[in-house]
Amino acid sequence: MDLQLALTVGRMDEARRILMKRLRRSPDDVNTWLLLGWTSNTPEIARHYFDKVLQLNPGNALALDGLTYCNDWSLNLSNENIGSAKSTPVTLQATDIYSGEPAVGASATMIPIHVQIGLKTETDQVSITRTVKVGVDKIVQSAAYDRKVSLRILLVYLTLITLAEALTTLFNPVMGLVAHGLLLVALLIHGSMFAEQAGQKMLFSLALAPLIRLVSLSIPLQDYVFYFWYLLIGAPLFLSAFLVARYMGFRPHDIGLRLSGWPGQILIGLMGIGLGYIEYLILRPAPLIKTFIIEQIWLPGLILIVFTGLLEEVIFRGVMQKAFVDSLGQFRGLLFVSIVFAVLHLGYHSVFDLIFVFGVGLLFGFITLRFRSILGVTMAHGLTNFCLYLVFPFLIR
Amino acid sequence: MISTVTTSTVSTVAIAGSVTIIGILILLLLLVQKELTSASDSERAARLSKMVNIGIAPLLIAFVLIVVSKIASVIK
Repeated sequence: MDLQLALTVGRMDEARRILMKRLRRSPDDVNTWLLLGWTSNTPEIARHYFDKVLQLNPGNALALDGLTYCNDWSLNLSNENIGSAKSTPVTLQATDIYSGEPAVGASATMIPIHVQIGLKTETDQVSITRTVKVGVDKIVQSAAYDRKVSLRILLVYLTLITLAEALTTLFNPVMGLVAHGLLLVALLIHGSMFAEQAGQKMLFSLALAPLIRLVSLSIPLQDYVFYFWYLLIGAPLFLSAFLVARYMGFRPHDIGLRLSGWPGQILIGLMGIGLGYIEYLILRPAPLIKTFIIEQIWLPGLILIVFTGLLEEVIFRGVMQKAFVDSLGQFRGLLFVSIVFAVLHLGYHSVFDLIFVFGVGLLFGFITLRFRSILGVTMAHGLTNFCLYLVFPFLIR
Repeated sequence: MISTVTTSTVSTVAIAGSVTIIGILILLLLLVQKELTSASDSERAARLSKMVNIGIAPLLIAFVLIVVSKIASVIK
C-alpha cells in the first residue's frame, strides 16, 4: 500500500509506517513530520511532531494549526464520560485526496477513521476527524503543488544555466558571465521566497552551478601555474558548498561524508583509472607537468584529487543530489543533477565528452545513493583526472 | 576531464580584465541586497539576507585575489 492510499482509506497505522520509513531517508522533510503529526494517535506524540516541524520551519502555519488541534484533543481527553462515546464507530466516505473521486483499493467504501479515541460525543468525533482529514489534505496537496511548481521552475533554470554556459564557452564569455551572475542572484532571491524547505534546498543548491562559473572566471589566474588554478578556484567554492549545506541543515553524513564500508569504496575509487583512460581517448589533453617523475606528480595530483574529486563530489553528489533526490525522487533527482553536471562541461567542446560526463554523473550519483557515501566516487573522480592529466599523456602517445 | 572548471577558464584568461569586473559587480549587487534585506523584519528578507552569503563569501575571496594580483602587477 502506498502513502496516498493509506491516507485516503484511513489506514493511519500503515501511513505512519510508510512515513517513518520516509523519515529515515529524509530526516528533515517538513511534510513527512507534518503528516506524522496529523496521523498520530495521541496528542502528545502529535505535539512532538508539530514541534519538530516548527524547529525546521519556524512559523509553519499547518504545524501551528496542528498544535491548536492537539490542545483541543487533550481537552477532550480530559473530559468526563469518555468511555460512552468511545465505542461508537465513526464512518466517512473515503475519497481520493487528489482527485476527489471515491477511493479505490479499500475493502469497503464506508470506513472507520481511527481518531475517535477519547472524544466526548459523536459530533466531536466527526468534527475532529474532519479536521484531521483537512490537515492531511492540505499537507499532501501543498507538497504535490510545491513539487509540481518546483519542477517547472527547475526546468526553466536548467535551460537558463545551459544557455548561460553555452554563451560563456561558445560565443561571448563576458555576456555569459553576466548571465551566470544574474542567475545566481535570481536563484538566491527565488529560493528565499519559498516557504517550503524542499524548494529552498533545490534552488539554493542549484545556485552553486552559476557560482562555479562565476568564481572560476573572476579570479585572475594568468600568473599562476596551471594546476594551482584548481586550488584557487576550489577553495572559495568549498566555502560556498559548506555554507549551503549548513544553511540547509545537512549534516556531514547527509551529503555522503562518511567512511563506512571503506574497502568497497576503494574498489569503486579504482574505477577512476578506467574512466580516466576513456576520457583521455576522447579529449587527448596535454599533460599538466613536463616530466613523468614523482617530484612533479605528487602536488598536482593532490590538488586534482582534492579540488576536483572531493570538491565536485561534495557539490554535485553531496549537496545538490541530497536536495534534489529528497524533493524530486531518486530518478528525477539523479537525472537533473547529472544534466547540470554535464552542462558545466560544455566548455570542452566535445559531444562525446558531454555524453561521457553525463553517464559518469549518473553512475556516481547511483553509487552515492546506493552506498550513502561519496568516498568512493571522490576517489574515482580524482583518480580519473589524475590519470587523464598526469599519467596517460605520458603512457599513451 | 571530469572537471567543471578548466577549459572554459582557459579560454577566458585572455580577457581576464573584463570578466573580473563582472565578478566584482555581482559581488556589489549581492552586498547591496544583503544590506537592504537585513533592515527588513520579514521572514523572507531575513532568509535572503543570510543566503546571499553563499555568493558573497567566494566572491569576496575572488575580490581579494584580484586586488593582490593588481598590486603584484604594479610592484613588478
